[in-house]
Amino acid sequence: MKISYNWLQNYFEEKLPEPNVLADLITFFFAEVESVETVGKDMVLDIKVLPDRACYALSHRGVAYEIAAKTGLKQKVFAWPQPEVAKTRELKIVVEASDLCNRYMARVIEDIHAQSPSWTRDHLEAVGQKSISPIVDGTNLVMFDVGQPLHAFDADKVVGGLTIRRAKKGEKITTLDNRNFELDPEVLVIADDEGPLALAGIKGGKKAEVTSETVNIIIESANFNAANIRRTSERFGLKTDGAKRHENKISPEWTEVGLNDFTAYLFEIDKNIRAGQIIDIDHSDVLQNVRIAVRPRWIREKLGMEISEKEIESILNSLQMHIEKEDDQWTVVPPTFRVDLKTPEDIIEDIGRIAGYEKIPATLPPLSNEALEYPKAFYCEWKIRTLLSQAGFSEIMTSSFSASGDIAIAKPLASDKKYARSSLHENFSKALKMNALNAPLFETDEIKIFEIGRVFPQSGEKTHLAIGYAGPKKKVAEKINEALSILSEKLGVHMPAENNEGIVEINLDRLSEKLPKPAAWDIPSSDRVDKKFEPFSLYPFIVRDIALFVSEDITPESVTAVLKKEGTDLMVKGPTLFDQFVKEGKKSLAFRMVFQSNERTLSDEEVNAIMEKIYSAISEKGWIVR
Amino acid sequence: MAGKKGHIHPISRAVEDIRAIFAELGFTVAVGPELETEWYNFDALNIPQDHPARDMQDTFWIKNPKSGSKKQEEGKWERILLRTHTSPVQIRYMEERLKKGIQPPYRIIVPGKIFRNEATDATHEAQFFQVEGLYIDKEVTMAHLKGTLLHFLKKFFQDDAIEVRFRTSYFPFTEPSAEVDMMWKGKWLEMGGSGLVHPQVLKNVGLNPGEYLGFAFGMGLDRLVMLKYGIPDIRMLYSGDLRLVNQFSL
Repeated sequence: MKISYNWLQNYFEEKLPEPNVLADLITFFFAEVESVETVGKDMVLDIKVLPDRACYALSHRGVAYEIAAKTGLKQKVFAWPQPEVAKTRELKIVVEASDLCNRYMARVIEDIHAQSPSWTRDHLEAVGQKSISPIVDGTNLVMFDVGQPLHAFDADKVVGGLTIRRAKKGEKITTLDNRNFELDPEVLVIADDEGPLALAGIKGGKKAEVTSETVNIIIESANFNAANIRRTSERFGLKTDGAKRHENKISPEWTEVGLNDFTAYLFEIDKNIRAGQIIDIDHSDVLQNVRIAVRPRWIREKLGMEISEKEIESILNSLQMHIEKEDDQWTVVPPTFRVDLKTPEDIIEDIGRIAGYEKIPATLPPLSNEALEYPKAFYCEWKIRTLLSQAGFSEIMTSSFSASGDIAIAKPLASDKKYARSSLHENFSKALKMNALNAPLFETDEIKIFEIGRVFPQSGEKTHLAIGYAGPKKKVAEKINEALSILSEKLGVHMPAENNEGIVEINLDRLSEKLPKPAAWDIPSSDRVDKKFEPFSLYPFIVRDIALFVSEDITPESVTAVLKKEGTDLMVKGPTLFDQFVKEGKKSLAFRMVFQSNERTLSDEEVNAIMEKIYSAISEKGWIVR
Repeated sequence: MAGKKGHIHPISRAVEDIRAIFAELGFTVAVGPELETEWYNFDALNIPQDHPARDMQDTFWIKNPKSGSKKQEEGKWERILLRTHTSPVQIRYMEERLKKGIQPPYRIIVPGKIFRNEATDATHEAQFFQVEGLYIDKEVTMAHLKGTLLHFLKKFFQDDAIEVRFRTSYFPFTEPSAEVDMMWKGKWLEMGGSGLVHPQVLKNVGLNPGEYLGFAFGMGLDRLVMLKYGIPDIRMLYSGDLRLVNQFSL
């Protein structure tokens, strides 16, 4: 939520810490501050209020309460002058769906001819809102100030009274942003005698919209069922500021504060308004302070830090909590707006964060010398990982999503990620192909890989192993069988598997069941070297082979040196000697070289030019290119 | 190139490193399914239906007309999803232990793949790995949590100069909750979430919160690996590319 520094300052006589200092403070004890920005003459802190505190802290008042507790600065309490109750048109309110509406307050206010003062515009613009009209501005101001959403209806457009009820099936509404929704009884609406005027707590309707011409209104301040508001706002994709506050279960005490603050605001900017009788239909439970039993000893024990009873008491008091003491048994009574506080642990967290988490020391828990048992499946996977890597196979990981499968994702990220993979094959075979194309970069002609991962066939989740080989065709079956026989032999279980284009896939669940319980963890640990990743080029590479005749006394290394020098930095692999023989007193050597750039796709011409230089260097040496 | 050894994926290698570090502290490993029920992923972890806390994790729900959103017996929900965290394994592990009549202490780490329905970029993947830690005993404090995390991070990054700090946070399954930051090479880095296990979670598995308590933490395994080795793009870890894997030894 955007918090205006100037607005917040209004809550304190004393000067607040500088915005950046305040932001750091808030980040540690209250919530992450995502940014601090200058808006006009104001500074704005974007605070990511945590879901548990959203019931009281999505407001300047709530944030001021937090800052007062942490800094010890005194938070001001406001009592705005209210107008006398005047005679206005009649207002009839019926709450039909009392299960979805805890409290509904409303009053008529007539003859509004005010202009929004400039401070209102500054405040609203600071928190990212536009000034619209004095009435709408007033509702927004109150919402961002105390956290209570309000809604104003143009009283001249309302036919009859207001009913808070479930919508009828097929009823329609056009919202203020000109969207049309078809409703049903899951949706709570505010309706007049003709039909829905607003989606309760979420968005107003077009019909009774307040415009610049509006002078008479019905102002609503209400407390709706949080879960219902959340369902409807999700369903219609209307994540409005009002819905966000309602879904977090604000305290019904703010219903009244909101209505009064709004009236006072209008009265402040226009002394001639006529504010009618307040209607208050209250189905909420009688506001009762929660009583939470804690012992100072527990608090110390759970936080694991030294904190005196006096400190605990002063922190609780700074959070406006009362304490009733009976020896070491304390009953803490938080203010009613702290709807989030229910258990002793909640109180402990508040004490910890206000005292400062930095005061918690770092201590290891007592060690145990119990023998550790590992899950069979986990051990089996590691056994296989070790055996296969020792046999020259490298482990890869591919996506758990696939283009085809049995288990469909409700809202997939892409069309090739519509399913949870039913086997490893689809993504694994793509990886095998890709790596085979890159084989020259690894200076080899064979790719040996494996993957261990969960798959999701119709019959349920399983762990699969895939082993893949790409290389000379005649070696495929042999290499795969080699890997399988190593596993069969070392694990002592038969490995039935069919080789499909160089890939076998095996269900590991059945296999690990057959394995004996691991006696101890006997997997070799890594050498844990501090290896740094080296970025690799994502551009295509070009392979060139060269074969030449040299006299018998010339070593391959001396040729390599010449090739390397002329090959420039673009030669990323090689020269790799792949063939040599001696014939009629002459030695034949063949090398492979791989060219690649980190910045661009190399052209044939570029590599040809390099090769020309290599050829001329070779002929200078008296060697002959075959 | 006969006899040439293969390479183990850096994520797997990190799992083994973490296992070894925590084994010294008496922690074993627990695993659980990636395809989870709504109950284990949310409700049992004190994240109720229609609660704003569910917004904290974008979920991949499974399209399954049969299971719908009907409630099973015991009030457990049947909707299926790809788990959004490794925390459901906390529940499954504790339930399983208790079923066998084994009371705490419990000490586990849970490495595993998790899923979040969010757009991918260099630092975000829709699938990644998390490592969860859980310690349940009769006397467990936030100081133990801090000490364990500090010990782990120092060992994992092989740097004794590492510092750890807590920031206030919110997770439905821990109270108090804390965000974990690590000071490494002169910078504070966000490492994960943690806290004391919420009493409701203990109740949900059948433990008496008056008798037992515990700490839990969760960290992105990918983040640990990327920081340790300087890997710039999380997507490289799941592309099946040997150009990455081959850089790491056994």
